[in-house]
Amino acid sequence: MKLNIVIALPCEAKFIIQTLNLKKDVAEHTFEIYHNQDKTLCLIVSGIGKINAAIATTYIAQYANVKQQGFINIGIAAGPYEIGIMFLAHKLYDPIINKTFYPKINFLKNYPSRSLETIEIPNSDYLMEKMIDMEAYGFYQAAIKFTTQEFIQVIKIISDNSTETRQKISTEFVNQLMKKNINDILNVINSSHELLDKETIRLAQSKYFVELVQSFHFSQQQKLQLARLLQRAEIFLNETQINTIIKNANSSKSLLVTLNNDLGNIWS
Amino acid sequence: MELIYVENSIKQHPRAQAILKKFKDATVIECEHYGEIFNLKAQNFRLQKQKPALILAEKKNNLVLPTPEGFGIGGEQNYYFSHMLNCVYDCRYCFLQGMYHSANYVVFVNYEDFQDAIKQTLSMSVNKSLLNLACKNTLQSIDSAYFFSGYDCDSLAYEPITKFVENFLPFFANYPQAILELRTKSTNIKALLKQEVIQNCVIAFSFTPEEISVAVEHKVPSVSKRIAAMNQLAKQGWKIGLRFDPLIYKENFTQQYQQLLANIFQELSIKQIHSVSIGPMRFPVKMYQKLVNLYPSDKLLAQPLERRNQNMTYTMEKENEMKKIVLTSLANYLDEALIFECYIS
Repeated sequence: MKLNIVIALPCEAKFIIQTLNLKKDVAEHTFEIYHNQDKTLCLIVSGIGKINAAIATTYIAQYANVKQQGFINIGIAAGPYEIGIMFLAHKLYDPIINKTFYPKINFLKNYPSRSLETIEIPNSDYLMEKMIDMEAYGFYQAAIKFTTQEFIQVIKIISDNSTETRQKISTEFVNQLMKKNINDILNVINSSHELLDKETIRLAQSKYFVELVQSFHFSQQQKLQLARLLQRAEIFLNETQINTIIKNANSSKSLLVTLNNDLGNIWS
Repeated sequence: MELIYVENSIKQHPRAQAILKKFKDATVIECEHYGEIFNLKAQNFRLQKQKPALILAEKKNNLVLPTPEGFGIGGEQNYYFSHMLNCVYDCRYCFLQGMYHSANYVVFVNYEDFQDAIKQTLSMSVNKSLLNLACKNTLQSIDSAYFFSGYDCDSLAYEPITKFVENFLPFFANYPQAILELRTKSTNIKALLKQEVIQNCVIAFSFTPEEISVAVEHKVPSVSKRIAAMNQLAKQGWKIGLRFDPLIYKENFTQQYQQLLANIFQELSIKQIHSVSIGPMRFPVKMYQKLVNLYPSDKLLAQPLERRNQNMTYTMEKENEMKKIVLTSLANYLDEALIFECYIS
């Protein structure tokens, strides 16, 4: 299980990296990547723009690749709202291709949320009831190739509006915005991690599976059969019964036949 | 309900407005088409089922469709229509789990368009029936057309929100040759009790024995509560359907189903029964695989089923054994002409 954080700029990432005590992977040169000790939390600095965001998201998904992954995009956005306020994005729109995603925000604590439009070139249109950024749509489009919507979130902090325009944005200002919202950011990260963790445990392979595929030769089709038979065995048989079946098996075929027979007449 | 999506084109629709008013604290998000949310593949049905969102939409095409082969209660012409997609209940055998990528509830608010489509279907069905009679040169009466409303959802479970019954019963009252089946596991019968009884409506209650229901029909009212609701409706004069579909096998199957039937027929007047249907638990093969992936540790799905045609189901021997037990028990209470078998196509 791995939660990936995708952030466009080093100044947006800095305080989060410090707070989470992430270490830089010095062997990585394509992107700056930071991670915790067991690489269950990884952070990538993507650079500006939706294409960079999509490439970085794909890159981090392949980095320390595991089956169950989650993704969070964190960054600043413009919008007709108070500077420094944090929103989740509940609608992501790309005006170039006229497509929309609807992130599933209802699996997190009740944070305020807004629509978000991802644009290519920054502008000063602060009037519409939506946030504006340059990465989220690209990030989401890539992330959704690796997981389901419940494990992808977009967090944006308002950095500029019609009275305090983007010309005022500086590295230190962005760092301060992140500091101000760090508790809520960490809460979203922790909740996402927890949800992912539960799903990973739920879908974990039977503890017998790895041992058995090392002991006997199974074709791909037989491996699928074995995985399901072991799931069923763990529901209906006790540990002693399963161990006896395994102990008495002398081939992959005999194991599958015995499991099939023993489970063939068990009704819940 | 924390999250509601509403299609732009119907956000001002009075029915959409009335539903939105019931969820004042919900986050409301506008969308162009419900499919943008509902049809996306990358969704976790199991997690969504725990926290579904509501989608208010307009159904534009295919408002009334013929039912699949093997689905019916004795009529020649069977159709279904769905004002709602997905169910508030969480029954582990339900095909809706494998049918859609999303567990969110879609409510189509354009009821009048459904009613127009039903009228058109009925008109075609009458013509077809007349043609058949002319060909056979008989003086028999025109066949009724059956309309099933509980195919993609429970017909009554979301009534307090959708007001489906409130809107459709007066409509069907005007078309006696159209039989409406409301299929349900709900005890939401207030709307029915308030309406005058119409003879062309069957309220069909689905049952499994209490022990099975508790294990596999999550969030569903208890069997005793459903029986009580059913009796209340029967006493008021409503025609009742009994649905033992799916039949689910257990070690003490005979005893479980005999007890269930004894409880049902304790008070229910036989003359109020329109039809009884039975069918084995079955899943289309692809759907079954999807369900196993969703719920790998579920006991019901871990039972020994086998592939028959395009379905995963009980062995023929087991199916026949179950059917025989239930049919024999039913024969103690009612005429076999009322019983219909749903079969695997």
